[in-house]
Amino acid sequence: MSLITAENISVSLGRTPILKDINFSVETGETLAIVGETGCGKSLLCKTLLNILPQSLSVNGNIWFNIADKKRINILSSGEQILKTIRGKEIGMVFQDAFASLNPVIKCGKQISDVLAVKSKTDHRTKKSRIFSLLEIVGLADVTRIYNLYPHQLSGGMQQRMALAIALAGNPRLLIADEPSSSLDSIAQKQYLDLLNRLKHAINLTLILVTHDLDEAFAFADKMLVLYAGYTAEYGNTVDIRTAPAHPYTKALLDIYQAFRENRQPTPLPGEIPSLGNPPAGCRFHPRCYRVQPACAEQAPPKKDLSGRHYTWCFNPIE
Amino acid sequence: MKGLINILHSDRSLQLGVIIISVICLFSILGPLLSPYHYNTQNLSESFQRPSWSHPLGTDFFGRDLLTRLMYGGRITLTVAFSATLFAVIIGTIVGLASGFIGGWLDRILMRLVDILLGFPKLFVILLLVGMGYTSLGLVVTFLALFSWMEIARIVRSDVWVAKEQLYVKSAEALGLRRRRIIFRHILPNITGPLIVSTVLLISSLILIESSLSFLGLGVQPPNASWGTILNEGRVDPVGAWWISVFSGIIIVTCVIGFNLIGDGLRNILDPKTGKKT
Repeated sequence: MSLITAENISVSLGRTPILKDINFSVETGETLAIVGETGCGKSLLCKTLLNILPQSLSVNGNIWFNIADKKRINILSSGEQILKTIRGKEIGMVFQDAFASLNPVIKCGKQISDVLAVKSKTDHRTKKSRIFSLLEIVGLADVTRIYNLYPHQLSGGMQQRMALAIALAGNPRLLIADEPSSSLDSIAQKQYLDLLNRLKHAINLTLILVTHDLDEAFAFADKMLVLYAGYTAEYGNTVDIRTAPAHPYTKALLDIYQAFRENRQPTPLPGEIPSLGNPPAGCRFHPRCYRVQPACAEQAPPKKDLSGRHYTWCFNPIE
Repeated sequence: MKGLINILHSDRSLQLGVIIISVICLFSILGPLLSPYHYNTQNLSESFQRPSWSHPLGTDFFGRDLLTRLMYGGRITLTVAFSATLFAVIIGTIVGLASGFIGGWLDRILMRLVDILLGFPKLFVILLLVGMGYTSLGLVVTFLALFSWMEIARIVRSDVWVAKEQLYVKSAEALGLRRRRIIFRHILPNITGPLIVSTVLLISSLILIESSLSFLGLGVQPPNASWGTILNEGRVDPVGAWWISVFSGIIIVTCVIGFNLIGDGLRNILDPKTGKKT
């Protein structure tokens, strides 16, 4: 049974749909990469998974999370009491902007111990050694000094590692990392992703990695979910998508990626991302699509099963 | 402690304010213990003495030493102002937190209540209540607190509103922290800056209100004395016995200026928008 399964998740603000019919599932130990442009709903989807969206947004669908003993619960319809036992303990989350996600007036050590305090009542000494070991796990040196520092005294990379330490403090089985490396320079990015990958194997972590860097997705993910303007364009096995993209949007992304790898000038996709308030009818990608057909402008494309582990939502997929 | 001294050194007006208020507090707390006179023992043979070596600030109609009375009055004025502020801040913070964090209908009800209470002229309502005969010190403190928590509540509410949308509050939620913990550990410490500033400014405004009440004879009742009562006693002969009104007036003004200086100084330090660096 998969660890987390999302069924037809739709999020809307009033009558404006922001996410529409998102489906995916992640097995224990797997990594799912969610890729897409800025504003396609990646971060929103992450928050939906923990049910921490603002109340102004309405959510539909089911998110099944497999808790122990083959029992699963629906995160979207559970009460706060149950969610408290899930958030932080079963599912950890690292936000895009690490510095903003750390409380500016609490010292680093205390911020971790806060999470531990909720998790279990342990005495001060074991708690402290647990905090030190967490800081070491995420690759921070000089842990006794960092324990007493405020977040603003850390560098960007250290803040990101700090956020990871907090997310791991509750021993989660699933880690949602929302563009964890986008605010880092490229060397720190590489180190951070290596760290994530090592941790994943060391503590058998299941990972949902949000990224707009295809390199990251190809290097780490077993599965990929390609979003475009709140809709799924393509979902499936990373290798399949990389070698045989079916959706024209994925194809365009890959072409640009390939151009960069070969040091060519990439050909930009014509048009621009549709505004959420006034999206095009039918397939949201059709005004920019080179394989557009009359049907594309009329209704949203249905799910098409390509190989049992590779799906696309397109009337005219690339075969 | 070292941090505290650094803060004091970083702002001139804060420095000056702290010095003024410390002097006044010491003056009020220790003064009566050192003075050879009792604040309330009458000595009619020394009525209306000018300032002299034996009575540095002169005496009043009953021959009581004015300096001793001002020291003693300071105790009462400051106690009333401090305790009323304390209650007002407690009420205001609780209302503000509830209103800001929970929101919805509770927020609407509480904020309309605040609007209504702010619509009353504070001094006149308290005058009315005290005039109806509720004159004990405890009641005066209660009235003062009940009519001055609203500004605090508004400030706290709007800051909570901002703070709860911050990512660190979201991430505390994502970590499954209890609501109470999020409010008191993640939101409250982040809004203390504006709260402290408005608290200090509230003290000075309550000193003025308490003095006005006492001056009108409706606050602290004789034989007790507050600065306002002493100011009132100067009305008997404001020209001949000028020292009574002048010195009690000076100490009220100095004290208010002191607290305002502290408030301004703290604002400069705590509010990043004023652009001063600490």
